[in-house]
Amino acid sequence: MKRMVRLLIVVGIIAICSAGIAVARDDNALIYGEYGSPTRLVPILANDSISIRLIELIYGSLVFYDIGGEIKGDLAASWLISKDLRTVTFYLREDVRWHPMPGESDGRGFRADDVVKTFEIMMHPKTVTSLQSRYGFIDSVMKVDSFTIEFTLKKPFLGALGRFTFKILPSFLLDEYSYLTGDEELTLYKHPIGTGPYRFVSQKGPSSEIVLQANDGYHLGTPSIRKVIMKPFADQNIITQTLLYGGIDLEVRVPPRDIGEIEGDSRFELNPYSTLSYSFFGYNHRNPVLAIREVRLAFAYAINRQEMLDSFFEGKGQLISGPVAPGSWAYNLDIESIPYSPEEANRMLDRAGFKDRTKDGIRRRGSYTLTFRMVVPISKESETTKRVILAFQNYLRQVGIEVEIEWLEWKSWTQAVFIDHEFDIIYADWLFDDSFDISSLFHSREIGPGKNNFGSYRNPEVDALLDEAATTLDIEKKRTVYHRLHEILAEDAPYTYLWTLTNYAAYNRRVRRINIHPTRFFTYIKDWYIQGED
Amino acid sequence: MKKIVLFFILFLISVQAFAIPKEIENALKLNRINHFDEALQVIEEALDEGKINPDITSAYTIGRILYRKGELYREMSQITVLAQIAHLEQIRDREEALTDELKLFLGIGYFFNGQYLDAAGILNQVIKSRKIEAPLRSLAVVYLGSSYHRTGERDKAQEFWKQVDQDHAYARATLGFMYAYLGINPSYAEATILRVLDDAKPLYRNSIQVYLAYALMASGRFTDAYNEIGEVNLDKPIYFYKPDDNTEIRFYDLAVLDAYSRIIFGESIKNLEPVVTASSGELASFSSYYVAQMYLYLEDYEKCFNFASRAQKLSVSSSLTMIRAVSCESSAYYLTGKERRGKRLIERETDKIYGKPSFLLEMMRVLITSGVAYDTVRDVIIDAESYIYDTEWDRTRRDTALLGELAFFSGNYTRALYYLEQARDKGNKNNIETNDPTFLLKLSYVYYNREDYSESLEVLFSLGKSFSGVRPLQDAVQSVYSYKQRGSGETLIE
Repeated sequence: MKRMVRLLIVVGIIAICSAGIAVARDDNALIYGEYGSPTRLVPILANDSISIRLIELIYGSLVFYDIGGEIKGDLAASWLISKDLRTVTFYLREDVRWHPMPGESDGRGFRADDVVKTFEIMMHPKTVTSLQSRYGFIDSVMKVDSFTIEFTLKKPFLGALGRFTFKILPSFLLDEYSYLTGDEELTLYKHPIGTGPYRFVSQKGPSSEIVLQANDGYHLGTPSIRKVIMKPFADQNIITQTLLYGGIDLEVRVPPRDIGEIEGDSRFELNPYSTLSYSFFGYNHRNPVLAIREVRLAFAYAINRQEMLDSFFEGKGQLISGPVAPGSWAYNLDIESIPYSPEEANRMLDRAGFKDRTKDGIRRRGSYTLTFRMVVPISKESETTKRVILAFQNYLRQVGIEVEIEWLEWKSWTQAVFIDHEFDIIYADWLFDDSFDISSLFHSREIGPGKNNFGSYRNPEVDALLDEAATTLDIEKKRTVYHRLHEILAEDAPYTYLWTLTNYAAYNRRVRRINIHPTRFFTYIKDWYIQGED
Repeated sequence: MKKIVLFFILFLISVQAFAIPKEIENALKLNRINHFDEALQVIEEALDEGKINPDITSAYTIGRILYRKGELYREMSQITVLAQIAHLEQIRDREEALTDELKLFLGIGYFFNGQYLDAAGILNQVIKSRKIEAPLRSLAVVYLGSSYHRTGERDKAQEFWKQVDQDHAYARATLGFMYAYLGINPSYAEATILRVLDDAKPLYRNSIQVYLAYALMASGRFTDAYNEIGEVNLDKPIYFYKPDDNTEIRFYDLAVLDAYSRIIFGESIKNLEPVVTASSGELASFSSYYVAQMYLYLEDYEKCFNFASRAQKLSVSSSLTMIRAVSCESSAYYLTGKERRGKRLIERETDKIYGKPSFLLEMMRVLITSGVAYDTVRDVIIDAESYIYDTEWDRTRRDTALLGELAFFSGNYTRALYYLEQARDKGNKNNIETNDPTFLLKLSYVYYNREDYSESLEVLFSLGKSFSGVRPLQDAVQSVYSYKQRGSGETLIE
């Protein structure tokens, strides 16, 4: 019966979609499915992957990593690194134009001022962003002339050039602003203007599809695919079905249990990517009870993660032991995953002083009761996620902990977690690039609105090690330091580390020459093309 | 009616007579999902408890499982050596110089990769240094001598070996091991290793235990050898290089995995050889081929020829066993320098299986896993590839995997990845139950070569949970990855 209902929903969606996209199909369009809508299409302010994938299509950066891992110029034509490794000078391309403003036919010229303005806003203390920790190594930026810009570093930094991949905003739309919080009334928020391969065309409502058109004047060559349409789905369960029935061409992340279904269909290709991610339960340490290590450890002991992985994801993933994905160079293989042990969880809670029980069996200590509020984004309202959360609740109830669930829209969820910090527990995934930089997650400097240390975790030893990892020029040292960080963060349990899942993107074989960037996804879209019907 | 009853009784008797014992069936099931140790344990326990008899069925089953396990460790050993060399060469290229300790381990890597002149060159630098600790210098002397022995300068080898300090148990044990490994004198090897076994530091015990087992295996005492390695921890480092408090590089004994795989082959041979002599049926022909293949791996070419020939006599013309046995014999000719003969043999058999691309792939697999260099068999491989790629047929998953292996051997990693990914069970992409672990290991190495380190490490992480001995490879790949990492520190929430 459930399958029937789902099928009817899918058929309905396709029927509705097909009326609207018939023209787009003729126009050589790529339609891809997401499990939600972007929070904001503003590079500095966004830290969620749905937004970042779209931002990658719309905006440009000074440099980027090509498929072979080499650093190539995007907005920068060339660059020079001083002998003392303290200065990086970029010589900008002179043929780059911003996408046209609404109602205009031509875009304005890209200049060094745009880079300066972007950097200054990004690093302003009042800007609500998680990016500052990544650029703390830069001392200053200076415009040399309209097409030359110079960055001075505080000291030599490992892989410094690769960091200049932040997206550049148009200064002519930001003149009045020295910082951004997301609350401003900016044209840019409603109609993003970038220099990337696709320009923004329309989005009818906050939860509607987003239409992008190929940028014919793109300085790195006009993309072959003329139109890209991002279609948000409120329910993750039906994205794969929509792909199979031809309603979309590409699914950015296939739920593990759907992989088998796609694998058996010769019309589709599965492409593994972004193995550097993991799921976790994150805790708000502002809640004095969750600031107690024993309580957090009790959570980890109380839940049977292997059973959850096997039951809800058909075992398609790996349990992890700390804040690092097993596919990373930073994973400490000596650290064992915390085993399932309700007995140990009970011992931990006893030790933390939560011995008494209410009538409902919930533990308490004085006026504190072990009752917590967990916020989950509605976009994650898939059957699998629901099961994980229900199981989490049940496991915890066995040891005297009550968890109340609150479902929020994706934007409200990010607001509650990253800006207002109004939550006790979250269930989410972190996704990393090769550099596997966890400093923004656990450094005490990264506590505050818009920053990634949403749980306000503090540990001076962790801070010191993160600083050492960020400043050393010795790669072996950096790896050793990260192994130590893994060890400490496993013991301290600011999160309950869960698993890393089998990640595949799926696409219709008529989309050709696909290469996928592990985090930004669409970096190489310029080379993709759609095979026409024979 | 009487006839029907009689037929039924005869049927029951025949079922009884040919029924495979439940324990063997269980072991075969476990073997099919690549749980080698559990499979072996089931049979061994059943034998101990008298639930099954030690007959050709049980011997064949044990031998076959051990053969697969040995192949996995052989592959693991080879890839680990390559990854360690890549790691150290990367440090050398970056730092423009290596410390003596790192030079020593690079030299050992070169030795196990067959680069004896490179090994001798770098180890000569190590032994002249006064900065290196005496036990490590002694180890360098052992490997320097061994490199010269391999290049044919045996007197020079002896000169160096005489310099090995008697106070350093690990270096002495390694020298003993080399006496067996290089085929000089396994009895002397055993005696030398036994003398130092008790004095060795705990750090080196694992290695020395494996050395002893290897010496026993080299003397033909397969079961004694196999029993010695029962408790060995293959993931234990032998040296922690710590240039400062916050930096550590772990080094593992590269001899261990190679020796371990050979000891397993020894035990497999012990089980399969009697099957060859005790029977003349299918099991005998299969066993003959496996034994030939393992003698090839153990570099005992005379026995390899002998069993390959028997396998051919016992097999049906153009059967899978026949073509594998021919390919094995051909490989042995290549490895003993009789390249024209090897080529002639394989070309003759290739003609016979024209129109059977799956068989051709199986034949090529034997050749490319035998240890022959690509340059030596390039013509044969190119001919086979051009035929296979021009042929359309319904490929099985194994065929596709073999296509990947062939491309991998030819150094075409893009093509290799394409086929290996096609052959992978994507729903359970790192699951050893549905993906052969040797296949996964190869896939991991292809990803590593294509600098897709996170995929490579993810595969190894999974393998490491099921098999010991993966850790040295994981450490080496992590090190290489940390050097090659490219990224801007991106961290996204989902």
